[in-house]
Amino acid sequence: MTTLRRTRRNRPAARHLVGLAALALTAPLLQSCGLFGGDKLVIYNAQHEQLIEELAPAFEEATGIEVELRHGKDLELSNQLIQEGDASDADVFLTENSPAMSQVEAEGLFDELPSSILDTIPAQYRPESGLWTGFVARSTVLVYNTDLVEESELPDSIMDLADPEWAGRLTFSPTGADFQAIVAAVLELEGEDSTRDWLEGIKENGTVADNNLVALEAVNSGQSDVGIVYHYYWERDRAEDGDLHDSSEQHYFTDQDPGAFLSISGAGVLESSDMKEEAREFVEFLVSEEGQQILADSYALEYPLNPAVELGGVKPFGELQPPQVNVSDLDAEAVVDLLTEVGFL
Amino acid sequence: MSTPHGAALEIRGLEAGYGRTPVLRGLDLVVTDGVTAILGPSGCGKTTLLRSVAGFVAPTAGTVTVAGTPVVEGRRSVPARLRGLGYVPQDGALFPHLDVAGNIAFGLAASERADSAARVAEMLELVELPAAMATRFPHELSGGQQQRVALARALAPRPRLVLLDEPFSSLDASLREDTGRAVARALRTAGAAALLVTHDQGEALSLADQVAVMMDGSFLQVDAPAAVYLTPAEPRVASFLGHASLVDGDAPAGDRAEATCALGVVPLRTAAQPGPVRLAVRAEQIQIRQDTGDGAPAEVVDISFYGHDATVRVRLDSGELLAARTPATSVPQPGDRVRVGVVGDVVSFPA
Amino acid sequence: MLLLVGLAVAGLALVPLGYVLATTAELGPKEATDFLWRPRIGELLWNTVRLLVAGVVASTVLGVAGAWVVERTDVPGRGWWHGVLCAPLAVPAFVNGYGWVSTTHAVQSYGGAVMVVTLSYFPLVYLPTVAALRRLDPAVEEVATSLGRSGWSVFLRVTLPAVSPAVLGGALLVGLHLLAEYGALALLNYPTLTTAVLQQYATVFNGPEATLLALVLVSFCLLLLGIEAVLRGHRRRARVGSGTSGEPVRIPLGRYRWPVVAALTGVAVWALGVPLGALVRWLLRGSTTGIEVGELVQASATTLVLAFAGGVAATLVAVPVVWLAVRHRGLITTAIERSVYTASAMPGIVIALALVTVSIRVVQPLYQTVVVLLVGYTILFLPRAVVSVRSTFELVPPGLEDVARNLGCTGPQVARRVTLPLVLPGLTAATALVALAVATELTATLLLAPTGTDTLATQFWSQASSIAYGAAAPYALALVLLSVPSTWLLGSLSLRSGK
Repeated sequence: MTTLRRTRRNRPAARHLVGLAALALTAPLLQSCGLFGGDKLVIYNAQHEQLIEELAPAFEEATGIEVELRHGKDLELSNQLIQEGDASDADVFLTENSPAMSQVEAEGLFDELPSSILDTIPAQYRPESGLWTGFVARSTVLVYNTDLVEESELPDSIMDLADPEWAGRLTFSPTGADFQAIVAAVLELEGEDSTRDWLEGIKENGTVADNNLVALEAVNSGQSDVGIVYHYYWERDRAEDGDLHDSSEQHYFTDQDPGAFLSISGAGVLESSDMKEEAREFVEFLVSEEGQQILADSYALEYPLNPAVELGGVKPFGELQPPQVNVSDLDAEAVVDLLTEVGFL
Repeated sequence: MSTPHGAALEIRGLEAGYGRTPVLRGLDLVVTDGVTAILGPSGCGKTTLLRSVAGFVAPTAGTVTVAGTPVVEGRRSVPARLRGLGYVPQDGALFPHLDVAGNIAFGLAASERADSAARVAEMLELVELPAAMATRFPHELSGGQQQRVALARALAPRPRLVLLDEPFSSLDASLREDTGRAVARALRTAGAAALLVTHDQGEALSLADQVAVMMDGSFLQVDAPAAVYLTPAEPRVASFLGHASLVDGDAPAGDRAEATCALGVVPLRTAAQPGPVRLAVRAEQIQIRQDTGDGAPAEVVDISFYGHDATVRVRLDSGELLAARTPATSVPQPGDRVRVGVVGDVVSFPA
Repeated sequence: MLLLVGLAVAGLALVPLGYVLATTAELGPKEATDFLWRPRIGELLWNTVRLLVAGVVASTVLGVAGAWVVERTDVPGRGWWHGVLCAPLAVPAFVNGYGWVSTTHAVQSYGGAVMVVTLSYFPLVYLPTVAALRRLDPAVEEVATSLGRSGWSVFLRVTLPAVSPAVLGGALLVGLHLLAEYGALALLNYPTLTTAVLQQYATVFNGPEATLLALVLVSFCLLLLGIEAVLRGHRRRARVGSGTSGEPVRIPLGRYRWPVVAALTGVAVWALGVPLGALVRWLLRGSTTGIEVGELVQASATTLVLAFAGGVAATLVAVPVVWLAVRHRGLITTAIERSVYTASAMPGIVIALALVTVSIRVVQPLYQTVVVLLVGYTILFLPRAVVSVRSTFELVPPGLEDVARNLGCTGPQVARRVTLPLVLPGLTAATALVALAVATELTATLLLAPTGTDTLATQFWSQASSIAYGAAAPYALALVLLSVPSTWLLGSLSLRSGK
């Protein structure tokens, strides 16, 4: 009986051994899947994945430098870079909003950019230090449901949204880097106490969404009357003929209101990089006419900052009336503290 | 049998089956008092009979009356929970999450359950278990103890009839006898009749007041233990009860109660019709003698030695195989030449 | 030697707990209290607790009712309904959430969150309950019936207590899953401790605040384990006696027959019809906008490789632990086995946070490599692997090994010629179970995957969380398909266990 069982089991056993041996053969496959890094240019990317994934192939084709992307949110990646310090694999850091850039800059982790890059971008869209540069910009807007909100009701200032008349009508995403940048602007323009009051007001009035798209959808589907987002979410959906724009419109704040804040997406080369030359080439490509045109032509609909390139199809860049904010003055950590204090985090 | 009115259990024309396969083929049985054993090989339908009475199987025809109350009439039947029967399944099936006291009190009426300690103690005493056992849990009991508690649980609500489904089959031999006797005593003290299903003839004969021998869904014989054993109604009963060897023979004309067979002329218990007969010769009736003595010549085939006695299988020179039980003191060797004789009278059936 | 390996494994398994405690200690009590003693934390606790309570209760009711109907009544098509009630396990909770939220926004509420998690996790109660009902000797219920109890009373007083350890175990699993759930709840916009940990991570990487929240989360898990242990008590509810279980008497449903079938159909539509319907709908729409086949293939390949490697790693690590626990029973070996189980109280996010920090600070060269990811999977799924490997080792009586030694085999020969052939099928099953769990893992993968590594789950997440429902659909479909085999395996095992 025992003998019988042993011989019967022996053959499947052999088959299992073969299965285990197959593990050894999968190592090359692992490599092809990118599970083992090579000598590629590593970009910590907090910008929209799709946007950079459109640009990267063009860069690779133009320069022959291969690119590896690590995606995350602005402050996630900035804090990660700070924790990693000198040991970081990252060569380039891209964000959606500037506060995260300033945070990394303050830790002294950026290498200086050459003037060939800096000169392409107008001075107000980059820090005086020259340690990083903006490459696209996005405008804050109030998206509103056209069935639920009359145009005449729309507020003149984003600060008004803390008023009781907006109770239960507002959606925004305080855990997103975009909103955090807007808070940074409000903080810079209105001071800490006003900002805290404003945050407490909109917390009272509003619903928290996981991200801007969720907020946009909430407004378009009528769950919410208005939402604080950036301009391109709605514009993009309209350009793609998606489902999130047909019952809503955008309201641009004017007169340098904090709500007209123009947020700058930044790019920088890391001091710890062992491929600085290639990293600079990437940033240079990013701000070049060619690169900026790719961004402008892409689905992203963010405003290119190279004056030579114009973005069509949306409200012209020149018609925006943003408040004057020095990009270096936006303080990410103060914003996180405030959001924690008010209870968003 | 004479006073069916007020019988603990009365079954008339009971039929049951699964799908198109009949399992019970028209059974009649009356249980007045004491233990009635349903004895039969596995698959004969005895468990189905028990479950029909209990209410877990729906019979297709017939009536079942418990203590004067009809519980099955054709296809109409009273739900199991309203039949007021005690039920002891094979393993006892104690509720594993309740202690012994909880198990015993489970079936008591709500009013009695509130203050059940006295009844629990009484029942433990009845099944001869120490009162301290009340707080034990089922897994802390031996198999025999579990069965006693299961019986106590079944008896606690004072049923007229208790159904026992092979209750001792999972116990080892020594425990089986003690537990069996204790159960029989408890039933008698409690004044409950019992229907005991078993395939063990020793158990049936020793514990029951009435034995119903069942095969293929029918009763072959329903009678007192001694009667089924000594005067089997047909050859199948004889061969199932006590290792009887069946031997062909011939009854001569006239009223002499004897028959001629390979073992010579043997006396019959009762006179048979002249002509060919089948004789049931029990192992203990067959005597193995020395080759020089009287009897039919035979050769020893093999031997099973039990200590207190031995079973010796012999082949008669005329070809028949017989089993004999012999005292341990005179056991031959396989291959020995012997003579075989019959002691006492044998039962005959028309061939 | 073996003991050293075992101790190393135990040490590894305790890394996350040690990390959480160490970081908290580092932070100092003042700062910790300031952070934790806030209305926001109260809000998160309240959300977590009420989701936990309602989700566990609803899953338990649904799971037990389903198991009872399938095992104890004459409902038509029982085999089919068994399959239907297991099947939601093949739809990862975050895919279920995606299906619902892309169908109606009404689920973005407390009630919706409870409903979606219940529909995703009730099979975790259903499966052990069905198995326990099948193991339960029907004679126990018959005796209760013969003692005058009605069907309902038999169920409450006998059946339920007898299967309660299984139900409790299932409920505990649901609770632990709910505490660890991120994807579905993020899509449903229902903030809990776990989604807050992820938010903290997205805002400040792995700051001390995230760890503090993780500590609260772990305390919850330990609390659940404690509650379960207390409720279960120290009594064994093992079956007494040794006879064969018969076929149970099935309760005729009578006029409730069709309402019961309707209710089961409702569960099927709610738990499977809606999410899979949404999936198909988006797939059809998505196919017009074009599916990125290349990325799908790449993500599938990465997922399969990671799943296989994770499965093998967890199983290989489980073997010495089990071997020690089964063949060298003692204080230390038992402690080693127990320490492995602590990981079951660690949501993936906690393990991931711990490994990020430890790898940055201690083993820098491994940071952001596939090694750390695989270590994460190993710790996360080691309890599963150990349970599975253990059951197969227990099938090999030591007597067999003694016999082999008696026949002249050396130690290694015994292992190769006797033990290994007998346990290999079990090891393969353990590998498969872990592999399938790895394939649908989201939170730890999000944090630990090396730069440029996309799995089906992370790709799905990146699309679904940016409301690109059509683009997410192919990944969701792949995840569902990957989950089918393990679900099928669990479903058929639960039925076999009775025989």
